[in-house]
Amino acid sequence: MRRALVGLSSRSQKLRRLPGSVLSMVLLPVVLVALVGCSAAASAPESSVKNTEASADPSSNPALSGTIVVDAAASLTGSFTAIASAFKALHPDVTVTLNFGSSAALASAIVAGAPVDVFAAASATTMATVTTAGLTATPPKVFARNSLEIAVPPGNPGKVSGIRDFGDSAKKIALCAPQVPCGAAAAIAFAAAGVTPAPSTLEQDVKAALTKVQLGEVDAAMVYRTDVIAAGSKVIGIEFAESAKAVTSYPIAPVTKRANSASAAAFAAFVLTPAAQTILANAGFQAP
Amino acid sequence: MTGTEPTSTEPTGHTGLRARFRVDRPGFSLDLNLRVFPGTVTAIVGPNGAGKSTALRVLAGLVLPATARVSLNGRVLEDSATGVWRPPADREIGVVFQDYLLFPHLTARDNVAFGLRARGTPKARAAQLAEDWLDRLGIGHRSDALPRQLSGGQAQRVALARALILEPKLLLLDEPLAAIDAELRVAVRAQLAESLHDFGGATVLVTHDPIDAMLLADELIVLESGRITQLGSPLAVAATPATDYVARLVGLNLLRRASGTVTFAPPECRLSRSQPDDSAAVACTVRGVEQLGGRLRVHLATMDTSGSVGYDAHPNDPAPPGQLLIAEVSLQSLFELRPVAPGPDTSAAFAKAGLLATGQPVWLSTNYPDGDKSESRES
Amino acid sequence: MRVSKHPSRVGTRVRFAVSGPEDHGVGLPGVLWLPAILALAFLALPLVALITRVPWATLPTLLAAPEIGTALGLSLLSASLATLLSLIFGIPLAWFLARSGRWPPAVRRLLRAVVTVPLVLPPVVGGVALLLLLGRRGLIGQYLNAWFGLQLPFSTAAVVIAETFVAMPFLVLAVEGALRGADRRFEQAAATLGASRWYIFRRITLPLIAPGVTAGAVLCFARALGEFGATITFAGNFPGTTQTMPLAAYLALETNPDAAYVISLVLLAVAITVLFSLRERWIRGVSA
Repeated sequence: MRRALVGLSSRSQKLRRLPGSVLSMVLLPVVLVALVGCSAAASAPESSVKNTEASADPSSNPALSGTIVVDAAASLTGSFTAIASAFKALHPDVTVTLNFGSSAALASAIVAGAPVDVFAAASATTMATVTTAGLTATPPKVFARNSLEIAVPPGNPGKVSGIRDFGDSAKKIALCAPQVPCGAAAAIAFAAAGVTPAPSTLEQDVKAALTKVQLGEVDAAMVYRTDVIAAGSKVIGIEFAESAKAVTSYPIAPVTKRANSASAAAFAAFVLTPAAQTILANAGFQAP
Repeated sequence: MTGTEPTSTEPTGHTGLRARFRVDRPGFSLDLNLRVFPGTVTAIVGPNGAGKSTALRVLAGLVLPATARVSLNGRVLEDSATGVWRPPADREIGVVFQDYLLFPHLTARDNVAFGLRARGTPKARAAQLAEDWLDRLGIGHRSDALPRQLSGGQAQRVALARALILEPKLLLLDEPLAAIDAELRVAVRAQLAESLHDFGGATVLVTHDPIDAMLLADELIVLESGRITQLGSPLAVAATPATDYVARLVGLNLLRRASGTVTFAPPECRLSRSQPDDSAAVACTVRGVEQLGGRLRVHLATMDTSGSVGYDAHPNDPAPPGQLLIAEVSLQSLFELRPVAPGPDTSAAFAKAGLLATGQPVWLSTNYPDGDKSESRES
Repeated sequence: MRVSKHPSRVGTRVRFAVSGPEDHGVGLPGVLWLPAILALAFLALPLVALITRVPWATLPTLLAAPEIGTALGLSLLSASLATLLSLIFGIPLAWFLARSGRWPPAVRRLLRAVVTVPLVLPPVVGGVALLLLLGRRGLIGQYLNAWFGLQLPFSTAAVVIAETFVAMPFLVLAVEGALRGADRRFEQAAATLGASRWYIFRRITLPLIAPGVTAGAVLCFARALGEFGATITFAGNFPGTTQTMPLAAYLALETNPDAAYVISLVLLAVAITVLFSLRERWIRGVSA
């Protein structure tokens, strides 16, 4: 129950920051899937809590307390909600406030002075914005990788079979805009496949692209594997070979000049522990 | 030109306006029966709320009456018995509204041409006819002006031209002079009278101003609380008011007594504090005093003298109490009663001195104790 | 004599000269100055802040980017069409709302609520609703697709539809207010002159409410020009087809904030110029 509340409140924060991604909020089925997804994923850490304690890594420091704000890429919504719960089980005195949004927008906010303790980005580029500004306390560590997958509506009405179909102008295709990470990754994949895509729309983020698939407005979209898994039966995922050329890495780093740097460091470290990695793996992420 | 007798050889039932209708509103009903012959003007006069404007709006087709039969030159405009109802556009009527309702965004010419344009007359032709009408009414030089640039008199003539250009069989005028400044009123009224004289159709005019009604109309209809209380030529109505309202309208007092009704003009009155020899004197109470030039206008009400000792006047010819009367007396005649130094506010001085205070009893006698039909002479 | 001194009895002449020397001495009470100035500052200062961030040195280069011209042209075209559609359909609707005196109050309240819905609905939700109605699997859209091969999403038509949906209520409410305030006796006068209802509406009613229509159209155009959420959701984002200025600004913010500031500046300048000149012209047209 508490997890569900965490999920909702973090979404409402996202709503303020990023009007476009409210899209997922309005689709009740998507919200339900997300909630079900995170509670399912959350069942894993409960059993592995003991392991974590035994390993005596920094995150098990019992003296931690206070509040930390974690800014994470929108694609981490489900898994980070579960990871925060698991972290909370270890450190009951620490309150974790999650804030999800587009990596670029979050990075700009941090550079502009937003009170953030931990930043988990969806690309090395966006993390670099923060690092270049000298705002990372320790060098960023890659904690997960995500690869692209083709999402098609159930029944595959456009009869899409692979990345070649993205060059077919007769098909309705949604891509992420080149300015956002999923679009940049897709561009690499298309280059590797030698395909010139003919998209109908360049969506502002991956969730928006996925929504177009779920509503059946497009025949296919290029999204992350994690998004296909989170969408459950609403979409069908199609893997393709060239996705290996466009793997996205997710770095995480505590942000400097924050009062609660101990808890922030602990959280950043916790994401790399087996407990958190299991959650991420369940959501479709690959190990770093 | 009394309008009560058809002068032509046309069949009487088929010329002019015949209207009989009834309008029911919560707390108010209007019942009217009127007949207006072509070339004549009938004025409906009455106090505010009598239903004058409603009557006009029924004739115009803007108010749906409970029951009605209205015909114009033999053509049925509406008949509640047969369900006939013609919309305003199909009545061959022209209306000059109170405040004229000139379309504020159109020039005088376009206002006048509006009806023709609405009926499909080509633009140039309609504009030419509109100019002709404005010329005829003496305001051709204002044809490019917008309504807000026109004086009240000019606006009235534009409104008249707008109605007359369609050659209506019936012209309806709602308080056509109410918006005219007092100093221009005489001239504007004269022009209006001329225009109405030239108009060959039937005219119904609504006004609260007795002078307008007397000077413009061939026939008066007095409407009070939705009912006709008197009708006839202006001369006849003025000479023999049938109600207090009409009497007041024509500036006369109407006094009902056991012996009959007498009318007399306010200047024909005399006031005294003690009972005069005049056996016809009436006991009254003062309701108020206003100064009118060098004279005082005293508002009175007949007194209830039954059972009061000392006021057993006119026992053979009692006047029911509560009748409102007006007496106009000179200051001098009052000084004789009670000398008070004349000042800037003489009426207030009198009131202070105890004379002509509200509620005070006075005796009213007239120069015509027999109750002659008044042809007001100065006393 | 007293009659002539009483303004309301002088009639037509005074009625139209409403403002004038009488206003003297009943100006803004002192206590209202402070909130008025604060309100103005609150509205204006964010724009000032935006302008201070515009990179004036690189402005010419950024402005020369063809995407800006394309997006600007599309924005002006679609906002103009949306305003036109709103006028064509919104004025009759306003007429029904204003003149529905004989309908039960509950029906009128319901109708007004329906008209107001797009104002309170988050635009992104409005976009989803439009997809669910007009998308290729939507309530109506599926038949448009099956019978006419018509697919609205991802087209310029979809941009116009989304903008109309969001902006039309402004026009309807403004025109309805104007109709309620209009003196219906002018229409009666026109009726006695033999004008048909349609002729009265065109030649009398419409000119009389022109200031209200102008105000409504200006609001409507402004709202359409700035429309983001419903557009990107229903119409998608593709340069030249559906990418309007607000969409371009949003995506530029992801990678190139300077470009975003420039786009915002251009949008602002164009909006102010267009609204100002339109308003001047229309008002002159009405009163002259």
